[in-house]
Formats: sequence, structure tokens, C-alpha cells
Amino acid sequence: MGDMLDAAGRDPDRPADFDDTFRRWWAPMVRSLTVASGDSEVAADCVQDAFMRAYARWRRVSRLDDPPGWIRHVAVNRLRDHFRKTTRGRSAFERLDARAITTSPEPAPPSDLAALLAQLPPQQRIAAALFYVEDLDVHQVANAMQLSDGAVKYHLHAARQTLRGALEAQS
Amino acid sequence: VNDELDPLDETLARGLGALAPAEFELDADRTLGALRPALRRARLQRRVATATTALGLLAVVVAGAAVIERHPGSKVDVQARDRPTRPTTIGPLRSTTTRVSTSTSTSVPRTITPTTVPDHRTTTTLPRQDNQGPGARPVTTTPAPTPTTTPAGQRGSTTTTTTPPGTTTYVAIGGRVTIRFAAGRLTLVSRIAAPGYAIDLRTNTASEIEVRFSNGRNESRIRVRVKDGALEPEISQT
Repeated sequence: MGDMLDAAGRDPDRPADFDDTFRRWWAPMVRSLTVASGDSEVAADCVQDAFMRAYARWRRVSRLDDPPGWIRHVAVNRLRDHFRKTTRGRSAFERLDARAITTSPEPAPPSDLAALLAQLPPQQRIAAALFYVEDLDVHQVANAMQLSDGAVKYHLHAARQTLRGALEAQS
Repeated sequence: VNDELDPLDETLARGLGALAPAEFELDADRTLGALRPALRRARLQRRVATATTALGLLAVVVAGAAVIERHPGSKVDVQARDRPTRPTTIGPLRSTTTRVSTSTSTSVPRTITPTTVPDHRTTTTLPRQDNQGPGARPVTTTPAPTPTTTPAGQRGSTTTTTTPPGTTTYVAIGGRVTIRFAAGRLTLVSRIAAPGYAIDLRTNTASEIEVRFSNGRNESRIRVRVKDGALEPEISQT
């Protein structure tokens, strides 16, 4: 049955190969999480960490129905951890009434869409990024975020409503 | 949402896609090559962690088995009805003392031997062994069935309370002691400790012999005294 390949182009009866999986899914995951986090370094770290975890237990992961889905789920969790840490750090600064000293050069001013995206709650940002950038369907997004399909639809709808206003104002 | 894709969705997909780095900027092969050592390290760490966990579990199981082995309190040695000797094993943490009644401390053939005194109808009956306690039965006995005879001229039947001479072995968990009783005197014939136990001869006189067996955690004590011409054995386990 070697000619029966799944959507990812692999034989479903054969365990996935790590290198092939990495080459196929590394860039799309980094792209979508870059949009979700607004920082390509953070996105690359999250995806890299997810692939390392997958490699350490590859014998088991490779036999799953959807190994890239497992990796994406781990990467999204890492990104959520990052959001949590950032929020805690910001809260701490606010409590201390302190100012962060920025030594790195100011980033380029973000586009309107990027600025608007940054204002979205993390769940909406991640859902929108996975749906629009990585081109996943609702069910795959739900798997990656460990949410129900309905919850993902809700987050996508809310994100669309917010972003629609920005795009209509631009045009 | 999938069914409702409209021009806005396409515009959003284009706009958000433009925020992401281009595919060609992300060189998966180069990243994979750079990541190899870290990947190998991660796998090694996981294997070490798994092996450590397995060894820890194994150690816990072995330790548990050793503890159970040392405290066989839950084991009960059930004897067959006709087996003559061994006492029932009692939990080592419980202190038990069993006294053997004087009249049954020595095995005597179950046959009742009536002795007829000439010219009189006096019969002396030896005690049976049926009522012996389970914990401290003597093991072996050289038969010395000496029925006591009522002195001539006395009428009626009497029951003796003296122990006939003979050799008796007393068994405890920690070891066994063989004692000869003759002419109202005790003589220690032998003392043998069970594996792992040490012998401590506390008393060795004509009227009392006490031997203790200890393995550091449990102690068995066998004490035999002569009281009113009869043996009074005492076997305890702590």
C-alpha cells in the first residue's frame, strides 16, 4: 500500500520520518507563530522546542495519527507560556511603577494590521494566525489549541470583527 | 467559519501572511543541521531520565520485597492434623507466651495403661495429650512412660502431676532446645539456632534452663523450670 499517501504526502502505515517532518512543517509553523507572537525569534524558539521534545520521544510521536499536529500543539503551549511570562513581567513593572530601560534599537513601526493584531487577546491572535497564515481548518486549529471547534469559531469570529474594522478604515 | 470564507478572509490571509517571514527566509535544512547536537542531547537526557525513573521504581519494589521478607507476620504455618510437632508461627512483633500445663509437657503414649495393684482395684491413669496448647508442644520425646502407681494400701484412683523422666525438644522460631529430665534434674542436651539467629544461654541449672535466640530484630525465648517435680516450659517470641 505504498502508493496510499495521506494529505501530508506520507504513507499512513509507516511511522513518520523526523527529518521529513521537520523540513515540511518547520517554516509554516514558525510563520504562523510569528504572526501570533509578533516576534519571529520567540516563534522560532517555541517551534524549535516543540521539535526537540518530539525528537526525544519520536518513537511514540511518529506513530500518532498526526505527528505535526502534536508538534504544533506543543509549540502553541510554549507560546502561551511566553504570553503568560510577558504578562506577569509587565504586571510586575506596573506594580513597581518602574520603567523598562530599552537598550536595543526601536523596532520599525508596525503596520496598522500588526498593531491591531497585537491588541487582540492571545487566543484570538493564535487562532487567526493558524487559520489564515498556516491555512489550517477549524478542527486542526482546535487540536493545536486544545479547544473545541465551537470555541475556535468564536475566537475567529471575534478576531475577524476586530480586524474587519481596521481593514475597512484603511480602504 | 470555513464555509463563510469571503473576500475579507482573503484580504486577512494576505495581510497576515505579509506579516510573517517569507518561506525562503526560513531555511529548514540549515536549521535542522544546527539543531542536531541539541536534538541528540534532548534525546539522551530523556533516556537518562526514563532509565533513572525505572531504576527508582525497581529499587522501591526491591525494598518493599525485602521489608516483607523480614516481617513474615502475615504468614501462618497451618499444620496438618497428624503432624506431631511444630508450633504455629505467630507474628514476630506480637509478644506471646505459652505455658504448657505440667501434666502434658512430655509426650506420653496415648495408650492408657491400667495398672492393677494386687489385691486392690486401684488404677492409675496418665494424662492424655489432647488438650495441649498449640504454641509450645514439645517436639520429640524419648519415650519414658512411667505410669505412677498408687502406693499399696491406698484405694481409689488418682492423677499424677509429676513429669516422667525423658528427653524433650522445645522449638521456637529462633531455634530449638533439647533437655533431659531425670531424677528431678534438668540437663541441657543441645541447643540449635535457626539460620540468622544467635544463641544466648542465660540460665543452665538443674532446676532451670533458659536459652534465647536473637537475630537483632526478633527474639525467641525458651525457658524450662522444674516446679513441684514437674516441668514447666515457657516459650515466647518478641
